[in-house]
Amino acid sequence: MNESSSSEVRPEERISRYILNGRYFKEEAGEIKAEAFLPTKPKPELQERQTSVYRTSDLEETNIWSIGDQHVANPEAKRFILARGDLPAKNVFSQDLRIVPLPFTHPRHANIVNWPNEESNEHRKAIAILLAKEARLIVK
Amino acid sequence: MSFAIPEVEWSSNTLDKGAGEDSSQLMKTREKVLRHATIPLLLGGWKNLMVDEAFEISFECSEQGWDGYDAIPLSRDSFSNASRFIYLLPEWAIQPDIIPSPDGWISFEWRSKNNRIFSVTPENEILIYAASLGPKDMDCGRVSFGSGLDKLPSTITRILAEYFGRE
Repeated sequence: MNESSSSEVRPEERISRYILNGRYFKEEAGEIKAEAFLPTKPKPELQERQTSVYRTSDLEETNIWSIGDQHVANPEAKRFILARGDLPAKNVFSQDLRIVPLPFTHPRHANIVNWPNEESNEHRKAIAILLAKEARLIVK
Repeated sequence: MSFAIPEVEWSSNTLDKGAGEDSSQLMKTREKVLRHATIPLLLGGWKNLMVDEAFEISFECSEQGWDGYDAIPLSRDSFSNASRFIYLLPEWAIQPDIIPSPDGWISFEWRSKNNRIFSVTPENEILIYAASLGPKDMDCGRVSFGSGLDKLPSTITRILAEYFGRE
């Protein structure tokens, strides 16, 4: 993948969700909690809920962690990268979600969008469960 | 800077002598603390531990963006809804994990050995739930969680009984 690519996400690409809260995974069981993938409420300037992810295919482990440390973590607020959930983009697409490249903050940044609407908390929860179940936990 | 916390001995000698409202309130608190600390785990003491954990989570997640993204701070309602939910949990079900939700609520998640997952979030007056119970078996919905309930809605109990009972 081109480093500065805003190209369409391919189904076989690896997508990583950085995890900064220790309650979102259980290392001994290899579990990621559904909440780690839930999209947050949209800010007024945004149209819809999004889950921020990075396209990490073809990257060395150290580079993957370094993206998280530099672009997601906030050491001043004591928020550090603890782990991440990796999964192929096709598992996201199979839930009728889309992955939209958003390479402004980082060339590999993207958002998972097309989540069920505001009134459908239960459907968002169901999808987040499936993503969490299919994702592979990598602890830093 | 550190502060020394004076050791208070709650002996009945001290408290029973008071006659005012403060003394009576102290007596009630003492009883509550003693009850909380001495209920055996098998008789529901685990619920008290879970309430403590929910309280801890409320404290940990009280700032905007506590998840490293845009999570909403947990509200006071989230803790009271979670506590009420905990005390209605059946004794025969396995203990769930307690997880803060980015929408500002507290969720409960059960997992079985064969990777069945059931998640419930007590919001105001409703329980939002979703379950992955098999390769093609998903279930989700919402049920009423009004303040007058003295047991969990049957939809929740049924899933717990079928998939998440203690062995």
